[in-house]
Amino acid sequence: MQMQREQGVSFPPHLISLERIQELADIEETVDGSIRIGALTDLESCRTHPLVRRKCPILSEAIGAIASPAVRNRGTIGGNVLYGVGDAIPVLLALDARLSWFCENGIRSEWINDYLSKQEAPAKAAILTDITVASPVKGRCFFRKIGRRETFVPSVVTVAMYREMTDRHTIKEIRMVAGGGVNTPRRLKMCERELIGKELTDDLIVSLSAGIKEEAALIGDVFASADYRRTVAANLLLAALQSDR
Amino acid sequence: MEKKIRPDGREKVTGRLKYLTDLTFPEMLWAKVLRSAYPHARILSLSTEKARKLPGVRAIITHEDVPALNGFGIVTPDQPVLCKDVVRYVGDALAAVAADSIEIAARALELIEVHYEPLPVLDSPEKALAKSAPFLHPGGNVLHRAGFQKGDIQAAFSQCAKIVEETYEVPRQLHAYMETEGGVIVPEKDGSLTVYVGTQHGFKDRFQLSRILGMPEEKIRIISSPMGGSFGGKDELNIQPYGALLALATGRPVKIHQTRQESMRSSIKRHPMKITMKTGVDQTGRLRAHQTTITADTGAYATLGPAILDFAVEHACGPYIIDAVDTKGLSVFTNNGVSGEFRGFGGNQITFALEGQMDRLAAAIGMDALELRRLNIRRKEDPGPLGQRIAPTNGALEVLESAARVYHAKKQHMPKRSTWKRTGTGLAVTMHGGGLGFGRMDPAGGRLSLTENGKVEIAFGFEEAGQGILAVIEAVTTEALGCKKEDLSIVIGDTAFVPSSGSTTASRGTSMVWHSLQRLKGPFIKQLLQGAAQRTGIEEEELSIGPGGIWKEGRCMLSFESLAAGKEPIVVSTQFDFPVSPDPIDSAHFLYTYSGVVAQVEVDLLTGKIKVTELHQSTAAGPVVNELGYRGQIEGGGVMALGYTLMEDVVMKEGQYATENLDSYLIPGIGDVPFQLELEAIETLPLEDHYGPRGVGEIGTVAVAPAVANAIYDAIGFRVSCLPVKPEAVLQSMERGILHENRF
Amino acid sequence: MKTDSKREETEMIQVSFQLNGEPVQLTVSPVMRAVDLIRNELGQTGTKISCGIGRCGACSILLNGRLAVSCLTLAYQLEGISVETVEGLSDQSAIHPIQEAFLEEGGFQCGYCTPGMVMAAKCLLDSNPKPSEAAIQEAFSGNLCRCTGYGGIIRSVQRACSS
Ligand SMILES: Cc1cc2nc3c(=O)[nH]c(=O)nc-3n(C[C@H](O)[C@H](O)[C@H](O)COP(=O)(O)OP(=O)(O)OC[C@H]3O[C@@H](n4cnc5c(N)ncnc54)[C@H](O)[C@@H]3O)c2cc1C
Ligand code: FES
Ligand code: FES
Repeated sequence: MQMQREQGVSFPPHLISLERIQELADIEETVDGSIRIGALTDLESCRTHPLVRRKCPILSEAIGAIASPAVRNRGTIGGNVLYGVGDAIPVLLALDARLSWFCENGIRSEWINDYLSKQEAPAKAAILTDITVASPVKGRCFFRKIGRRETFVPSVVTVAMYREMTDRHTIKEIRMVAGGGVNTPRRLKMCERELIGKELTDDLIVSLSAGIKEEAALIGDVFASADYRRTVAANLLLAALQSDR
Repeated sequence: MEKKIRPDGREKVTGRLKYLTDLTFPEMLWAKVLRSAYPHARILSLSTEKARKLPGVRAIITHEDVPALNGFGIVTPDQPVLCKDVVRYVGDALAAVAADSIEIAARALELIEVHYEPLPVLDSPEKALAKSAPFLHPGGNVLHRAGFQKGDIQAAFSQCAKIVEETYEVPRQLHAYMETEGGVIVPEKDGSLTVYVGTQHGFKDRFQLSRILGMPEEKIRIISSPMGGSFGGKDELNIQPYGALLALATGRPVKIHQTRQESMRSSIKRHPMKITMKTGVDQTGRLRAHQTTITADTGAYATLGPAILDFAVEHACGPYIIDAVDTKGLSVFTNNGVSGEFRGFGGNQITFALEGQMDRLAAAIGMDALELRRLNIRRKEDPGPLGQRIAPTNGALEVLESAARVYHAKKQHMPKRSTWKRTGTGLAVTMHGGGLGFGRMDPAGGRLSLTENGKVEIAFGFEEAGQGILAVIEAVTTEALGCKKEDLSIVIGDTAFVPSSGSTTASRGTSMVWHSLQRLKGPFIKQLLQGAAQRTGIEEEELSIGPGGIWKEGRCMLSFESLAAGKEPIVVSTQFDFPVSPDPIDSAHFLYTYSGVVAQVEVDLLTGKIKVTELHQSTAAGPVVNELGYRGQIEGGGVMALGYTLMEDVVMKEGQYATENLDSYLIPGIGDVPFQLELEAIETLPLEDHYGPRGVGEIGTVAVAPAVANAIYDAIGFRVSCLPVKPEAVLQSMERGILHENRF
Repeated sequence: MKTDSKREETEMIQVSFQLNGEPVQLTVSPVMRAVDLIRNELGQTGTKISCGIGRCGACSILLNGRLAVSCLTLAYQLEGISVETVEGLSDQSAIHPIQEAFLEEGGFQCGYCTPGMVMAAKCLLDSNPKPSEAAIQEAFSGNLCRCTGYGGIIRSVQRACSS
C-alpha cells in the first residue's frame, strides 16, 4: 500500500492494522499432513520455514524470487496473494492451495483458483486467515520467473506447473499456470485437458505451443510485448515438460 | 602498489559523513519545484493565489521573481529558470514553493493553477526536423552540426572489396546517482549566499547563479562536495536557482532534496543517438572508407549537447587508421528530457557502432576480427582521429594485445553447452580523449601552502563525487613531496577556499592534480627548505622533506609545526591549461586513454535473456595512482555500461516518462554482474612521455556494450544493433531461423 | 508523495522504541515514514533515502535484527522494537569489522549506498558467517550501488568473513 502512496494515491481515511494478530502469522502441519500458512506470515519467514523447505520446496523457491530480503521481511504471503499479481500465486495455483477467510458469518474456505477467477473476497470485509497446501506433494513441480534483470525486479512472465504421471507414463494430473506483469496468474485449463491421460511425445509437446500462447492471453506493456510474454510462457512450460519426460 | 584507504573512507562507512542533502539549519524551510504537466505547451495563465493562502507557505516564486537572467546552461543559457510563456519538456519549472514542511510545500504545488494550451509534441529528432515542425528555439530545431572529412570518400568506397552498412540505436541513459539532487541554500547576515549543493564545478555554478540573481560572484559561496554520485549529471545546474531565489525571498535557509521521481523528470540524461555507419575494406582487410552520420536527441535545451556531438564525431573512427573518413553529426532539439553530460561523453554511443562495424566487416571478408583490428589499429606515432598530433603512446595496440590474450584464454575454457543455453565471447577496443579539447577554455590550477599550524595544505577546485579525487590528491601530494598523509590537509569543494581548477569532468581530475603537483612541488620544497635552513643553520642542500617535517640523513630535524611557527604561511600556486594538441583543430584532444574489453555471455534460448558471465577490461591510462580507486572506476564503469547494454532505457512516450523510478528504470543489481570482475592495468608510457597518469573516470564505460554485442553474435549469430538488447529481439532472431535447434 | 488535507487533523501518536540500544520516545503523525523519523526528527542521517519505494536499499535498517527498508516502514511500526542503524555499528574509538573491511577493499565510492550495504552485510554475517557466492548475491539483492559495480562490495564481505 505504501507503494501506492509514493505514486500519489492517498491512504484511505482509516487503516486497520492486523499486524498484532499472532495466530495469523504462523506455519503449522495440519492433522492430515497439509501445511497451513497464516496469511500474515511474512514472506521471508515463509520462505525459510523448515516445514515449507522440506515439504514444499517449490514454494520456498517461488517466494525467493519475490523482491529482496528486506521487502520479504515485511510483506506478507496473504498480501502477496490478494495483491492479485504476486509471484507466490503461480505456485499456489499449481499446488491447488486453499484459502480460508474469516467473515461476519464464520470461516469460509475456497480454492485459490476460484478466488482468483473472480478476484473478490467471499464476503465483505472478509479477512484472509490462512493458505493451505496439500502435502506431501506427490508430483513434480516447476516454477520460473522472468524479469528485466536477474533479481529484485517485477515479473515479465511467471510460470508454474504441477504434474503427476501414471505407471504407464501417461499424465495423471497436471496444472499449468502463466502470469506476469499486470497479468493475474491463471491456470491453463484447456491445455491441461489436452494433456490428461496422454503420453508425452515430442509431437504432443510441440503441438501445445500455440495453445499455451493463446490460452495464457498475457498482455504486454512498453517493456515487453504480449507476443513475447506468451512465447516465453510457452517455451518455459514446454521445456519443463520435455526436460522431465 | 599498496592499497591505500581513502581519506574520506571512515566517515563514509560509518554513516557519519554529512552529505549536503543531510544538512539542516535553524529556521530552515523546505522547498519544492512545480514542473510542467506537458512536454510542449503555451502557458495561458499561472496563479499562485490559492497556494499562497495555505498556512505554512513562506514564499512562492515564478518567472516574475527572477531578478536578472531567467536562463541557465553551461554554454548557452537557453533553459528558463522559471518558464513564462512556453514549456518545452516535462521537467520545465514554473514555480517553486518554500514552506514550513515538505508536506505543506507539496500541497501548495497542487494549489498552483496553471492553464496550458498543448502544442504539438516533437518527441523524436525525425519529427523535430520535419518541415512542418514548430520551432522550439528561435534558431530552429537544430542545436548543432559537426563534421569531419578526410580523403575522397566516394573514390575510396569504389575501391573497397566489401562494404558494410548498419544503423545503430542507443538509448537515453539515466545517471542514477544514488543521491538525488539537493542541498541547502543559506542567506547570510551580510547579504551573501552560501549554497550547499553538489556540483562538479563550483566556480561555474557561482557564475551561473550570479547571472540569474544579479548578484556579484564574490557574494556567492558554493560548497559542493561531497556528492552521492554524479557521473556528469550534476555538472549542469539543477535545483540551485530555486533554492537561492527562495532563500533570498524568505531570508531563511531553504532545503530542496528532489525525490527520485522529481529527479527522473528534471535531470539530464545520456544522449540517445541514431548512428549510421558505412565502412569499406579492401581484400587484405585494410579499412579504406568510413562514413558516419549521427543524429542525437538533445532534448529541450542545449547544455553540453554541442560538445558531446563534437566528441562523438571525433571518435567516429576510434583507434583505427582509415584513408577516407566522412563524419556528419546533428544534434536536434525535441520535447524529450534534456540530454547532457554523462560519463563517456558521446564516446560510448559511437564506439558501440564502430566496434559493431569491425566485427561485421571481419565476417564479411572472412577474416578473424582480431586480425582485422590488429591490421588497422593506430601505432605510436600515428596522428589522432582528427589528424591532430597527440601524445604518442602504444596504448591502442597494448590493450588490443592484452584483450586478445584474454579472449583466446576464455575461448579455450568455454562452459559446457546446456540444452537451453548458449555461450559466446566478444571483444572490443576503444580510445577516449581526456580534457575538453582544443579551443575550449580548459584552465586548471592548484595551491600548496604550509599553514600557520604546520599543515601542508593542498587545495583544488575539484569536487568529490565518489570517484576518489581525495585519495588521488593524497597519493600524488605525498609522493611528490615525500611527506606523510597525516601532514596533509586537503581542501576542495568550497569556492571560498579553493583556487579555480576547472570542472571535475572529462577524466581530467587525476591528470590535473598530477600536473599541478609537478609544477608546485619545486618552488614549494625550495621555500620550505630555505626556511628550514635558516632555522637550523644546516645547509639547504643537505635537507629534504620527509614524513612529519624536514629531514637530514634519515633524521627529522624540524617538524612542520616548528617550521611554520611564527612565520608567514608559505603559499605556492599554479595556473595552467590542460595539455592540448599543437594543431589547432577545434575540439581535438591530445591525451587519450585506451581500453580493450572481453565479455562472455550466456544466452537463454527460451527467453532471449542475456547474462554477462565474465567481463575483463584492459586499460592503458598511465601509472595507477591509487589501486582501489582505479579498480573501482573501471569495475563501476564497466557495470554501468553493462546496464546500458542490457537493461537501461529512460523510456519516453509522447514526451512523458514511462520510467519514473527505480522500479521501472532498472540498473544492474548484484545478480546481474559477474561475481569476479577482471582487469589489467597497462601502466607503461613511453620514456619521453611527461604527462603522467591519465584519468580513468570514463574509459571503463566505453567499450563494454560492443564487446557484449559481439559476444551475443558469437553465441547465437544475432547481430545487435539496438541497445539495450531486448530479449524479445533475441528471441525473434532465433525464430527467424538463425538458430534452428531445440525450437518448439 | 501526496497527502490529503484531512490528514492534518489526524491525531498524533506516541511511539517508543530502542534506537541503537538507546530508548527513544516521540510523538509522530501516523503516516510518517520511519526514514523521516530517523533522519529528520532524530537527525541520524547515516540512513539515506534514494528511491522512496523500497527499490534501492539506501535506507536499510535492522528491525529486531532483520533487514528492512525504512522508506516503506511507518514510524508507528517501530513501536516496541529494537532499531539498528549504521550509526550503531561504530563509536568514536572503534568501527565494526565489516566497516573496516569496506574501507580496506574499496567497498564504496560515493558512499551513499554504503550505510545500507553495511547493514545488509551485518544482517548476512550475523546469520551466516561463511556465506557462499549465492548467499552473498541473495543478501544484497535489494541494495543497489551505482559506483562500485559491486566488485568491491563482494570483496569487502569476503574479507569481513575471513577476518
Ligand atoms: C520494493 C518492492 C518490490 C516488490 N517486488 C515484488 C516481486 O518481485 N514480486 C511480488 O510478487 N511482489 C512484489 N512486491 C509486492 C509485495 O510482495 C507485496 O506488496 C506484498 O506481498 C503485499 O504484502 P503486504 O503484507 O505488504 O500487503 P499490504 O500492502 O498490506 O496489503 C495488500 C492488500 O491486501 C489487503 N490485505 C492484506 N492482508 C490481508 C488479509 N489477511 N485479509 C484481507 N485483506 C488483506 C490489504 O488491505 C491491501 O488492500 C514488491 C513490493 C515492494 C515494495
Ligand atoms: S529509499 Fe528506501 S529502498 Fe530506496
Ligand atoms: S558507492 Fe556510490 S552508490 Fe554505492
